[in-house]
Amino acid sequence: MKTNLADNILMDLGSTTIKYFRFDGSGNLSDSGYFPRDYERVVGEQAEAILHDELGYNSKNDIVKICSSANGGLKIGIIGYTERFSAKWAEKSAVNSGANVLWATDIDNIDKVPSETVDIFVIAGGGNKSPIFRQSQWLKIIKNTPIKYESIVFSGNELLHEVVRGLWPKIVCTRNVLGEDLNWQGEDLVETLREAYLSDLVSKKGISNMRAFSSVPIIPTPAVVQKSFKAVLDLRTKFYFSTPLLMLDIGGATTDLFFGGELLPENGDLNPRPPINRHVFTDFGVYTSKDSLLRKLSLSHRLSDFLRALDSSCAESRYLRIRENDIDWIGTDFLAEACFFLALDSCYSDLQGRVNLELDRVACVVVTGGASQLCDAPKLKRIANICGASNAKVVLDDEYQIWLEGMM
Amino acid sequence: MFEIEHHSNFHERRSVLRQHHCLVELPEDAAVTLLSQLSKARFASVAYQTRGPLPLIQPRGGFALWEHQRELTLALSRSEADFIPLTIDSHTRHNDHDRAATLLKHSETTGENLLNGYPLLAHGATSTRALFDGIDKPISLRHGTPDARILVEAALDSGITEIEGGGLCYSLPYSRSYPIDRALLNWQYVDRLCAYLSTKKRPIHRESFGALTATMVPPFMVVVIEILELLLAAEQGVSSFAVSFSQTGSLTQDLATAGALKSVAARKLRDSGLNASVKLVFHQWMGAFPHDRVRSDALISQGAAIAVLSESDKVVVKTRTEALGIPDAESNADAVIAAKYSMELCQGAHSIVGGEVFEEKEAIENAANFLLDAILNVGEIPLWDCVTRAVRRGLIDIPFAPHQDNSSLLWSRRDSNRAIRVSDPGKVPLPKEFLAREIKKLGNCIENQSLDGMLDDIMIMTR
Repeated sequence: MKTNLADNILMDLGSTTIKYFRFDGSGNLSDSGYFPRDYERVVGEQAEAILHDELGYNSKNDIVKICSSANGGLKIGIIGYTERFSAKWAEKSAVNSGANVLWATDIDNIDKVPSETVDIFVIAGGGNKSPIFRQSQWLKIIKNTPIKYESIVFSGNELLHEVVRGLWPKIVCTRNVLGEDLNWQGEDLVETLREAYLSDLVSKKGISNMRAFSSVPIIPTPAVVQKSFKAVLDLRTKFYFSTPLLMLDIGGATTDLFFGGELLPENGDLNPRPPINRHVFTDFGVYTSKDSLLRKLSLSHRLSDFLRALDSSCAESRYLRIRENDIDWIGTDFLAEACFFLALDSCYSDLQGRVNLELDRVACVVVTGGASQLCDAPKLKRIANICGASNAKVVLDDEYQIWLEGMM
Repeated sequence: MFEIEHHSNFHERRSVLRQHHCLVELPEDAAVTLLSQLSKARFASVAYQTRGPLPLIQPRGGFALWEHQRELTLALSRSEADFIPLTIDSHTRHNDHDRAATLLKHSETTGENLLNGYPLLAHGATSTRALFDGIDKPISLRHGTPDARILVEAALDSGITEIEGGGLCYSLPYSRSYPIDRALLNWQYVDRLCAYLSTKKRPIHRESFGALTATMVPPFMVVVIEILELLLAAEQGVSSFAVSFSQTGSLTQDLATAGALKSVAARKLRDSGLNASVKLVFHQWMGAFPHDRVRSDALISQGAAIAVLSESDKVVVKTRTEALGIPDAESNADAVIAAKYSMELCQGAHSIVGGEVFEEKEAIENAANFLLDAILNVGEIPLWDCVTRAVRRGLIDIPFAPHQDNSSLLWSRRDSNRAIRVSDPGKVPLPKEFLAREIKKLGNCIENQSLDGMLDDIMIMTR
């Protein structure tokens, strides 16, 4: 492949692999490779070692361009006034946002909280009109407990906002997760954690050392894929896909969906629809979001359809095992298929808060990211069929053409 | 219509399950050995085949202590009950075996009954076998367990040959949150186990619990649930099965329901290409019972008459002390004698049934068939999955069921003749003519939307 790049090493720091493509002085692809993530080391350290030890990086001759999606998967700790309601509802919000809940407990078990630092510590408790005296005392106990966290969020009784700001000046307050009838109303907390999750994808943490190597600021992987998607629609690439096109980037932390405005249903308004759209499923990923992915999968009303599409001979036993949280047998390929299914099913079923698309109009579904190396196109085609995209061809970007296009 | 599922992993699952600490006292083949040595009279399916002109009688009863349960068993056997019950305590029903064992120990120490039934797994299968020494009648397991795999393994090890329950009837009315799909798949295991341990001449008998919440359940919904459980069991190889229903307060409707159950069962089995011997079981009034003896006796007598007129194969009886707490052995024995006497008074009277009952039967049958078609004709998906979806979509909706997946949108009221009529079908698809008839029958009663009006309907036997 010939490129007009000045950079000669392109690197992608992912959750499950670090991959690179190297080009010679004439812009021809000379070398490429993949390294599984070494979870004993932070991603930046491993990438730096690869540059030096494997690629023989020479700061005078080599120009490096880096993108990253490696830090997805926020770790959350939760303390609720009661374990049954506030802690439970905050946990539900965290899972819905795609974050991973490390622990969720009440004050009685506060001494059992693991010593590991969480990215975000969420406090929830009390109905909005409940008296605050005892709750204020409760907050003071939490304040005096040595919990290690990066950021702190309060999603409890809104009458307590002043008190919590007094105790933790940098605290972020959201709407109470507890509704009037003790029902869940955690959308605001979901959104807060989701935003934090997305910014965490290219956070400073863990890859700050790599800035010294990159010729441009480290780019978030979704931006790379989005650039490529636009190039495909504009016919500026050397490869072509039929349109309407749906592109899924399935990675370790997220599943990103890219689609044109023509797939959005008519809603009667005359406003032009955006030509390029992206939706991030922060809870669907094969590595850091594995727990939230499997939880969503086990609760999917169409789980049995999905399992039958994969292999009808063992669908029933797999169904029960997933529903009973017996998941040791599940491999990464299955997780990637689950991301594909849940993302398409969300579009098909018009799930609340998700994107609703006319999937029957899709001509081609392209799968890129780590899943393109794990999945089997005929299986994905069967999944696409049950999700309403029965007219679509399924293509795997198994040579990372889409990623390369976006990095150029 | 349905393809019988292949359970190549049944034996694998069973081997894992048999490692459970409550089951390890006996080897995996214990039930096979015992059942082959048990007298034929101990088999429920055999009892049905040899019954006389009157329905067989089954009382209820379960105590924590082995000695009390033995005393009850002997008393019931002496009273000429045709089936001996073994009612399980609520901790065992929820698979909380450790708590059941702890409370049993306390009960044994203090002599006080701290459990509301017999904790089979805490006693173990060997002790439970001894409960029935010298008894030559079938034993029926009554429980309410959404996941009954372990309990039924132990019951079969104990020589119990009739297993009540099902994925719908033991989850929607009995559990708040046990997932329906898991209940159905785990009951598939139970059905498969019963089929596996059956022989042609001595099948293990399964029975569904059609009383459900016993609170304002329209008869067509009872028929639909019973037929689905029959098909689910037959699909797994069960060859002897009873559908059941309970006394509603309307004689006409009870007789019509019995007729509809029989005809819809036959038709659906035939359409599905499945085969099973189907029996009919009638439960005497399951709702709030009158406190005074006179009314209780009258209600029980009417129940006995309905059992004969409906040509039920078995009647499950209530006691006159029902409203006062857990009946003792003597009350249960008296109930058997009273039911038998009342039924003898009605012997041969089923031929008098006609007219209004036939019209009602046809209406129930049409509604049930219409709903069954809506549930089952959803493409090439397994039966358990069709049923799961039907619950989640609100097509199966049992009034006053506590389960979180029950949509609870269907409302029913009593008409001026005490029959239960649909006043609002919720999401349940029903034929237009049926709904129009129900509304017409309700007449002015539909206008009374008050809570008091509903309570009057529910508490009809006590007010």
